[in-house]
Amino acid sequence: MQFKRRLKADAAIPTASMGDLVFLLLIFFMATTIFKLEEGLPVDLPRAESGVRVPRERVVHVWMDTQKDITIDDRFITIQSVPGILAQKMRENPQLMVGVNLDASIPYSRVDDLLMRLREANAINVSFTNQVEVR
Amino acid sequence: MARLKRSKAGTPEIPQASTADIAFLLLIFFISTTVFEQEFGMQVGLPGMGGNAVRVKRDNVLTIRAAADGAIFVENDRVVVRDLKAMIKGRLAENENLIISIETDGEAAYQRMIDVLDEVKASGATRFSIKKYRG
Repeated sequence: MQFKRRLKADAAIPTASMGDLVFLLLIFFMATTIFKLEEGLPVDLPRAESGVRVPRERVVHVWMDTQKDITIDDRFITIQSVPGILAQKMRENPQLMVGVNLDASIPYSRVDDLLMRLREANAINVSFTNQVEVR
Repeated sequence: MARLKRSKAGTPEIPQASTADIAFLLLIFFISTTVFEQEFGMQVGLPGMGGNAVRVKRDNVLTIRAAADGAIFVENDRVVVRDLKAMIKGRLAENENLIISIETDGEAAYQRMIDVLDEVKASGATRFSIKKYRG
């Protein structure tokens, strides 16, 4: 016996669930994304014009603020331990650049002290982090 | 009054066709407005420790001093920071072996050293030394 095919066949893909899926994915990523950011210290960076972009990877930051605190990787350290810590980091990555985030108003003697320690650790690739100010 | 029969086929439903539209709209909005923080810095190559001090002819050195009160001196002439770039360019044109010596008083603010370094970098000079002096 031959069955007659019904002519009324709707071929559209049901899209009612698309919104569900999008929100599901969105909430999944919102819940699982971990932002690993270094906090550093509250520092008023010096203003300069000729700063160049520093690649975010391969940089370790040293922070010095007006309260005589020094941090690397959000750990408070003394100036004496800087060469040790940086020498360790240089061993792990010889191409390491040291981003020096210092408050603009600190006396230069503290900066000079830091630079001497950097030389001791052979961390000679240094970047003086600045805020961009176009003259 | 004729009794109105409720049609059996068709339950009340919130139209969901626009859910995906709104989701994608929000997504595109955040994709286009997210700003990634960029770090700027002035890159400097420090000399390693224990290297032999390089002997330089005194004529090939231009000394720029930042005093404790923030005044800038070029070989005992007081200058305005903004004039440094042009002056260095001029001296470089005369003597391409010129080395700029940036000397900063220990009590001077770090911003002053950065100001001088900014001018040196902007002038295109690549050979410079940074040190502390006791005024």
